[in-house]
Amino acid sequence: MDLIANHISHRFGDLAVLDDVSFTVSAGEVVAIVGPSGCGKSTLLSILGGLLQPTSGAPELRGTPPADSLNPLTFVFQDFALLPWASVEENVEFPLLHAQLSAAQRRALVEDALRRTGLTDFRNTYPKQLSGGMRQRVGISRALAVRPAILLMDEPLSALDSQTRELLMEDFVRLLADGGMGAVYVTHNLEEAARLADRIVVLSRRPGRIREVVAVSMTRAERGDIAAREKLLALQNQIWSLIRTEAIDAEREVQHA
Amino acid sequence: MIRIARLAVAGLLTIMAMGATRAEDALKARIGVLRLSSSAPVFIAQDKGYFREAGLDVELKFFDAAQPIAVATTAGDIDFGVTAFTAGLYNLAGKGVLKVIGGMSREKAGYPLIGYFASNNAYAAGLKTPKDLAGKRVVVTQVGSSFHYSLGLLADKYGFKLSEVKIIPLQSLSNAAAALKGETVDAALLPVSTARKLMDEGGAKFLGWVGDETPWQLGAVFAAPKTLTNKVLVTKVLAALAKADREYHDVILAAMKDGIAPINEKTRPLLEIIAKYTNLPVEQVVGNCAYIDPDGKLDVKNVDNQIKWLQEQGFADKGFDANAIIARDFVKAD
Amino acid sequence: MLDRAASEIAQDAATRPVRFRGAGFVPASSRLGGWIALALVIALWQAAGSAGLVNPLFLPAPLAIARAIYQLAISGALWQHVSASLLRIGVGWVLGTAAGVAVGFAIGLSRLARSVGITFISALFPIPKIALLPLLILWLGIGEEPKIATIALGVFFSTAISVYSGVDAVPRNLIRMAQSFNVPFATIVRKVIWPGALPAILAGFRITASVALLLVVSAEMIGAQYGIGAFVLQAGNLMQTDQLLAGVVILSVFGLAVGKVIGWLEVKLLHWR
Repeated sequence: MDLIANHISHRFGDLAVLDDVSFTVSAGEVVAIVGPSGCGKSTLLSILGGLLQPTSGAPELRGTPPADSLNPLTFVFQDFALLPWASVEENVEFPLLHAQLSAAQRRALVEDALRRTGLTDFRNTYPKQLSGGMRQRVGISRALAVRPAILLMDEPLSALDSQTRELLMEDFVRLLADGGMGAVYVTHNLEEAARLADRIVVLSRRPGRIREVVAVSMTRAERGDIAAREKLLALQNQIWSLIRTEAIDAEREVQHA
Repeated sequence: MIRIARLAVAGLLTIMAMGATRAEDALKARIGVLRLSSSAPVFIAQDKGYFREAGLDVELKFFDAAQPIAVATTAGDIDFGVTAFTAGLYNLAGKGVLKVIGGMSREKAGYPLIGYFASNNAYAAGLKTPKDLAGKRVVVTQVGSSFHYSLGLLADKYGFKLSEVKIIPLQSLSNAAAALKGETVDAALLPVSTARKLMDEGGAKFLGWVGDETPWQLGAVFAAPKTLTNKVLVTKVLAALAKADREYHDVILAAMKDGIAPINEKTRPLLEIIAKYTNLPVEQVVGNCAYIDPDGKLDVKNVDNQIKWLQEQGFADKGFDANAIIARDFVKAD
Repeated sequence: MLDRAASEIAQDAATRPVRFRGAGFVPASSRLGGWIALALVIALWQAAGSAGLVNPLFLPAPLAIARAIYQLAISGALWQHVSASLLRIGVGWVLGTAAGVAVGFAIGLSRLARSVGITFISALFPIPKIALLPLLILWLGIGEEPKIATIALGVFFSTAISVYSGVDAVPRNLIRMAQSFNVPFATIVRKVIWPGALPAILAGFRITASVALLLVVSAEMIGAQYGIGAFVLQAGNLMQTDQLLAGVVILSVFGLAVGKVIGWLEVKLLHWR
């Protein structure tokens, strides 16, 4: 199943946020969206996932999702969006409650999702008892439980410290490798984009337009290697040079506001 | 610094001197009253300057219920209280913190004050006279109030038991009127001022006046024991009130016919004074004149009866009688 | 392989400790301390009463109050008063709360209910319920109905307000999350909004329970023969201050008990906080 951004534009009142953005995420592909602060990255993701109505244009799907997918387009949120009154297990089970599943099927999905994120021993813990990294693992586990075709990840690591971020990035690489999932990965962190994406969509400053789509030639497995580090740095620098001036302008604008 | 201190001392001396001269000029007194015509002599004595002539500087403090006047007298916020007897007042007096020093309003035949009223339905079903109240649901404002006691007297007169009557305390006159109008009770005891409006609206039927059925001593003048040590003050206050009592009796009460005072050149000045203090038009004052003994006498026997009744009902503490709460030096008994 | 940096303390100069300056500003409440203070105040009060420093009419001593409660208890009237009041408080509170929760949720969830409901609540909430007593008597008579209605009305408005602010306070991101998993409306209300609003609702219960206790005195103005409120009113009318305070003590014991129950509910239901 492919996800297509078809000439999407969006305004918040007088403020133009997105201007005619079009691209396609093919089945199993990971596309990162980067750009200066306030370029409409997260707005674009909300539109793609059907949580926000665009002013013009539309998100579209092509082809059918895998038969076992309960929720083809599944979000992973920046702030985790866990139910604080529910245990880890209940949080993972939450999106399955209304699905047409037998109890045994539901159990199996929850168990599998917990196992893949290493949360089996934490099933009875509550979110407030967990560190930030573990909380986001719960968010990912919940997303995996519904067997998504495409993960919509909205800055999933930006609320975490750098060590945790490093560890979770390794998890992502592993999960993307064995899940056959595609993903749209919104981030302002160029290192994450370079490590995870097959293609990187670079948006301009507000109103966000596509400036460049950069393909990353290495496989994700290769990129974890020390030898690849130099290449990845070069790639990050290349993207940084595309957005640097605009990032400075955006920064100034924020300060004036 | 020294100059300021000197000034301060001088100022203090002046103030003290002024205080001393004032004390010689006039005896001060604060009297607590309700804005009801049952306190008419107090208004007359104040307005016509009888207090001033007696060398008194009287300040009237207005209250909106009887009980707070008794409490304020006990607490020393006022020196004299003029209002109806209540169980609360007797309980205070029984503890020795209040003394009765004179009589005021009375229930008396021919002078409408408190009446018995039936709801329209109960009237239609046969509740036509006060003695039919036995076995009915009757509203009073509060247990142990004048209304409750009046009902007790009625029970004694017609030989039924008060316990046969279902007493419903509704705390305020407006609640009582609403219950009567809403047909949720059979009858109520109400003051003439509340009842008149209700009858004009067709919300209730008149059964009779308490004064016609069972006359009794409704109100009194009282003071805290501390005030009584100032004999000159008490004597002067009572004398001024007696003068007003006499005038009120001779001019207005003596002229009353069918429970209504005529408005003529003789009565008008006094009626206007009462109207002024009670915030009522003269036309309403005339049907609202409580009987007051011309000599300010107190029906001591009835006071004793009231206390006994309240004690029997459990509303007053046991162990005191009328003699214990009356200041013999000042009270003129019937 | 890593080079180790020197870690021992240099011995060449005299050291002095850094002064600790972070003391204070962390009041720890001691359970025992509260009780001791209460006991002390009561003892002092009793002493002042026994020594004749305080006029027993203005402030009856604790022993006199205890005696009044004891007499009430052995005469059997205490139980009559308490059960009559508890029934009114209980039924009034449940009715007011049920209606308040329903209206609060409607206001929190529907645009129409919000615009209508908030206007009405703002207009009607500040009306003192005592002012409505004559009307309630006209509409509902003088039986149990107007007494229960007085309490239910008072409880209703506070509940509706705390419920809809509770619903408003449920984090929007949780609702978006649920929507992103295609969770149906009813399930979002039941599984996200209800538990999310529960802390505010329980905090509201604390207030409405006190409101119900306050209003039982007003409610029992309406021709009540039994009830703690009626008892307090009668004692006030008769200037029996020891009985008056006895009634007040019973009411505050109610208040403490209700506070405990709600505290227990909070621990039970909001353990996740």
